[in-house]
Amino acid sequence: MKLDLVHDIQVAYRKTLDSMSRPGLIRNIYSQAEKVNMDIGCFDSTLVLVLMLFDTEVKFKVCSEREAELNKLINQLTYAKATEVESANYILVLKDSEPEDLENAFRMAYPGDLLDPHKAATIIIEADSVSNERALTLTGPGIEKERYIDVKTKTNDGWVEFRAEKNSEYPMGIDLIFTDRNDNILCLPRTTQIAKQVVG
Amino acid sequence: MGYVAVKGGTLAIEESAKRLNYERLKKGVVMDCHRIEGGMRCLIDQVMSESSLYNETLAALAIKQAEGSPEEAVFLMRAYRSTLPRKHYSRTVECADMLVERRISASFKDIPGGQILGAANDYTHRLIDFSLSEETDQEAINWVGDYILESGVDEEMTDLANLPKVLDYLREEGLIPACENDDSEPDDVTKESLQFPTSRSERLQILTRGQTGAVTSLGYVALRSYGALHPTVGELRIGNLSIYVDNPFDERIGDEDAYYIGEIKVTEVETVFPEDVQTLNGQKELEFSLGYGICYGQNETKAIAMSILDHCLETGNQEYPTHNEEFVLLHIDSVESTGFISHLKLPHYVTFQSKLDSVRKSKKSKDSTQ
Repeated sequence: MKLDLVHDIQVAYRKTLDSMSRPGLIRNIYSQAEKVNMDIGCFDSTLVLVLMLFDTEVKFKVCSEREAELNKLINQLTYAKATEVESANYILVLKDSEPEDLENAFRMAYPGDLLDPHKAATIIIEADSVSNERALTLTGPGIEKERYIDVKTKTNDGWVEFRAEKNSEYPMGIDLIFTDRNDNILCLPRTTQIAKQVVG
Repeated sequence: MGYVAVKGGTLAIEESAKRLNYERLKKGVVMDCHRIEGGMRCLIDQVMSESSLYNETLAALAIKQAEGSPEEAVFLMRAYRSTLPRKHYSRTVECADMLVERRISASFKDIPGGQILGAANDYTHRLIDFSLSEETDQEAINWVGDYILESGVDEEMTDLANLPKVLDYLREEGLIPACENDDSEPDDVTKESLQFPTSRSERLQILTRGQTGAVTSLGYVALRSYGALHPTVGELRIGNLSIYVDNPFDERIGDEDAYYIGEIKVTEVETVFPEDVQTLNGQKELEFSLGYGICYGQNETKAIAMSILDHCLETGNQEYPTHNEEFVLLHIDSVESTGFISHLKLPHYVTFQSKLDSVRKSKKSKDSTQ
């Protein structure tokens, strides 16, 4: 069955919103993502997010080997416009991106300004897997005591540190959405504090 | 704690909604939307203009649902508008390309292209035509048929899509300063809340969607006493503008790639304000400055009042409230003003109770001291 651009996207949106308001809560959008009947070179769940969040007002940046091709496809699907990292509302760091793309995205993404912190960029990262394994401890608004997550990215490349640095000047900062192969969604708004679990 | 949610009353509310429907239907006659669209042109234009949504069919429906109340119809239209996705932006529209239906100037009698009176109430006697109460559809069809036959042969070959602007004539003479095109991206008041000082694009947007009565009143105030301006209508034109959108897929922008999506009728007014200006050697000279008004549909009073207010806000003389942008811009919106006034009807039980308590306390303390 084809993805319904109103009802399926709405269901996926409620789940993503739930995940964003309870950071660390992993929601699964497989039942929507499986209806995506085109392969544009990213996870189906990422494409669901693109269809959910992008419209003609949005500027985006894709970090991928096939950036040009994806730019065109996303523009055709949503009318959103491709741009550079600094001015993008959404930055997609796909699974086939270069290792330095992630660091670059964090470093260059627009963090908003003090008057309009809500205009900051959101980075959507395709991870190998996300889970509630006890690797990272989350605290902050939307979490009663603490929550645990584990995000396995290709290089495990220090995104926790990049993020901490980028978000040091609250309320400016960036929000993160992780997707994985199993269509799990994990959101980390800028208010969430991350601590690494110390073994022992 | 600011507010306490009021519970209960569900049944009473449902009954009230039924009662409202009963009031609409009790005479056993239903308004046909086509008839509203056909016969309520001015009300439709007003509602479309105040709601910033150009759709005659929807406006007719909103008017039907609102039983003809413009504020309620505008509320319905604005609410509907807010649910619509914004998929495209149109190309810039030039009013010089308007297909003109009516075009007059109060400044010059012999304007290039001529005065075109078109349809207007200005030249009627304003006597109630009692024969209209018996008018039938067949009579209307016959009249229109006759009218078309009568005016079918147009001997004058005025190009209505290419009428020169009257003010350009003044510019060519060097009587008013030439103005540069401002091609900066306009701010959008429907996306960002207003912050003062405002940009001109924001002011024009707020003015054009302002409540007709409010814009007219404030324009009148500026004219009559506060500032006592006396502008002259340089040009008032009414007609249709074609709207084009660019191909959204890529950045190739050329006239060839734009799509025609329809046309809108607008009223455009340019007013001329004579002003004394002190020259360097201390002498006074008369100069002209301009005001600009535009709104959806045919609504000449509103457009002229808008051009007066535009000029006032550009001048910004703080002696007069009509020159103060906060005073004008924050109070002329239909939904905002009617909404804020209507909210006084909503339960204020807690707020009022606390006021009552203070009055009781102060009375008591007064009594005890006596």
